[in-house]
Amino acid sequence: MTARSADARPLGARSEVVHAASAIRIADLRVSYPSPLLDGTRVHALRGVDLEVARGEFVALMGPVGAGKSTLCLALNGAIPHIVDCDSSGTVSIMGQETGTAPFAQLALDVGLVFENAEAQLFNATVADEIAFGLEGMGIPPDEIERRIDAALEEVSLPGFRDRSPRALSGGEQKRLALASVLAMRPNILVLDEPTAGLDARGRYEVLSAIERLQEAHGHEMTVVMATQDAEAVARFADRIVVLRDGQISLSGTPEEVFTQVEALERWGLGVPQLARLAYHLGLPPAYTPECAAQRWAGLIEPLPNPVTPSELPVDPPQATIVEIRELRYEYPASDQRALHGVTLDITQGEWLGIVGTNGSGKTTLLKHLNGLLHPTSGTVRVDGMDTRDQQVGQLARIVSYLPQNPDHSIFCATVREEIAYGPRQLGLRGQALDQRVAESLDLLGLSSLAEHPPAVLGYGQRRQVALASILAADAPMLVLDEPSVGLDRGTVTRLMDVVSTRHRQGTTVVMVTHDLQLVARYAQRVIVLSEGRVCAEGRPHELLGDVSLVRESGLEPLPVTLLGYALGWPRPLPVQVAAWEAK
Amino acid sequence: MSEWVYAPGDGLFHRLDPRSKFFFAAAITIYLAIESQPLALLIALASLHVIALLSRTTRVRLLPLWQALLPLLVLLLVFGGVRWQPDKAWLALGPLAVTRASLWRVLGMAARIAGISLAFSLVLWTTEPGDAVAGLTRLGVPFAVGFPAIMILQYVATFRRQFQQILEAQQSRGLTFSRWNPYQVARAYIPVLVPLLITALRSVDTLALALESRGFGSSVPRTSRRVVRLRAIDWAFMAACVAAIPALVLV
Repeated sequence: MTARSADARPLGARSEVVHAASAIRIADLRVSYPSPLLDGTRVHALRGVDLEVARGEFVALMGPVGAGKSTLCLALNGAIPHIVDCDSSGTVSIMGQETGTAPFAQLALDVGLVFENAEAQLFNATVADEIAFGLEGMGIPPDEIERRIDAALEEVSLPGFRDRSPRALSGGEQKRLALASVLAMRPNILVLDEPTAGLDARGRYEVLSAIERLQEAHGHEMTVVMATQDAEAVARFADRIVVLRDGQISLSGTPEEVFTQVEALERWGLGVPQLARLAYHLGLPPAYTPECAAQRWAGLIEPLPNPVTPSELPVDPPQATIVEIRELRYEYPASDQRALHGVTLDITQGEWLGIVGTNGSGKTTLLKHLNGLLHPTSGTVRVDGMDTRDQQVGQLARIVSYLPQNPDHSIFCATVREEIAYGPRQLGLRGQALDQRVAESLDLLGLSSLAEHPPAVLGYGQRRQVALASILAADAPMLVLDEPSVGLDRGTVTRLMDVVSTRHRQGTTVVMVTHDLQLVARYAQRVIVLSEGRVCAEGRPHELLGDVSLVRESGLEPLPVTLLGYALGWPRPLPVQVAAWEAK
Repeated sequence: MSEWVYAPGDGLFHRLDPRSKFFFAAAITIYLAIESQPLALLIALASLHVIALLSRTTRVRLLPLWQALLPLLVLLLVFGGVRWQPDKAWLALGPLAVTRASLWRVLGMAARIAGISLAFSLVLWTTEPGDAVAGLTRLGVPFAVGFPAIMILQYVATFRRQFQQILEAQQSRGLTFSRWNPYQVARAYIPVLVPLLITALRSVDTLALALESRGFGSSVPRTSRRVVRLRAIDWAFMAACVAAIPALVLV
């Protein structure tokens, strides 16, 4: 096993990693679960995994949704075979002890596991109690517990948070607290399941930098295994990438080795760092961080002419306005803080509007005004000419279909077919017209073969597809998407967005809230940036996302290609050029 | 639900050891359960309100608590207070009537329910959950029993938020509650309650794994960073509770 090259690690000081001994050895691990369909069959999550991880190594587990990453994480801390209801065979050895024979309590001391759903693993009333919980279970004296609480909070940059309620923290803070509560137990191995999913750029940076600082603080003795879809983070932080597919390891190597396999990774539905994709398509030397690419590609790549400026674009025929927002102010009833401060915005029929901003900037609050879930404290919101104050949410559902971030908030029917039929039936559709609408949606999302399955037991990616199919079946003239890419592999995201794109080409208006600027660059026609409840910027994606300082001031992280352009001294590097380069 | 969650403060109740507050809640509950005089029950309820009004933290939670209890109390008043005795009616409602006796009886029952709720709420509002667990443990309640009992109250707020999110998601799909037929209203809630149950089950899975992964139920004797100590003020408070109950009985 080799250390990755230092030039791709801008935040870290480690130049060479010496792996003296194995922290993890896995031999022929096979895990299967009873099928959730209760038909007596089994779902094979892992099918013969062999893996060795050296002490101090940072290994990223990548793979499509359902590849077996979370199962592997559970096997590493001994939850499999000790707690989880499953069949398993093969051996997992952690710091020399086999998980099958070692007591689970002992394994928990060696392996700290941070789950994807941070909120569900925070069960105490205060931050300090949360961190103390594991330590008290280990029989640590109270004085030492207090010292470790302070140290852990310092390590994850949450000093002064001792008495706060874990439920009152932001998503990024909750993830860091979950990390701190595990770190305080001083595990030899840290296992992280999707630690950055759903976080904005700042939250991702905070979590990943905390992990890197920890490795440095522990003299690179702490082994980290991180399951993630975040290719850009993997490129910056991991020593090695292990790609899981259908419960087996398909690829393993340094980021340089793995991210040169662009074609295979994309075929498997995985994300690839933007610059690695560019290098592959243009035949440039491999590089996947802007700093590295700027060094290696200087003189090898020329900027394409900038796309025409908006003033040069042909003037579109004027379209009707479907949403008209004037001086919208909103205060949550139980809070003194104002969530929106005088937002004025028009959304044109048939456009694709991207809304970006940090966590807590007011994006979701704004979305909820579009379908009447919230009414303005002052100001007006008109949808299709109607003041939302005068309309019930159910009535506005004829015009606005809303896709929530969590598919489990809407799924309740016994079959996928019934689930998709629910929305249009509520809107009054019956008989053959309803059947036809449902069949079209099933077909559009490739769900026909699952039509009679219970949707609640499908995999996460499929549940997201069912949720999208059910709102498409309502055939509303406007789709509102809340973080459509969170928790999904790139292949599933592309499939979902292509379906939305098809609907958009047929005239549907799309409003999309997302942290994923690559998604905005690829699909949106216009983007607004929200900051502290105000629209702080508005424009075409290539103009706005090409402005590094504006993006950073808004609390967002510029796209790698934009940073590369700046590093190479180009006047205004534009994300849209990636597609043009790739086409070239 | 904020009605059941601790809020920081510096009133008398906040300064007491959790065990003396448990004693208070137990004593009030026993008294309210055995007292049969409606007037005494109402006086006890009023006394509890006086205690709650002494601190801002508890004062501001009285209204939400009454709002939460209101549906139950209304049902109690309707089904317990209305009788088919028009000849003895204090208040006639067509063929139905509210008699003085039934009114007093139902007011006493309402005072009993509200009083017990308020007594336990005072404990929960003023006791940090960690202290409550430490207090229970010191009373001999196993940690494996005491911790989940207190922890579940923290999750009520989480489930309430999830209920709201699911309700919003289903309303966005056209769910309406405009019907007045109780059967149809109940049916309309199915699309909300089923996802809530599924979401709760998924969360519970993660929670169970997280608890076990951090040593819950391990054989190592637990330590606690929470120090609970009965001081003079606690003994005095418990003595006052003991003295107050006979006084109420005499009333």
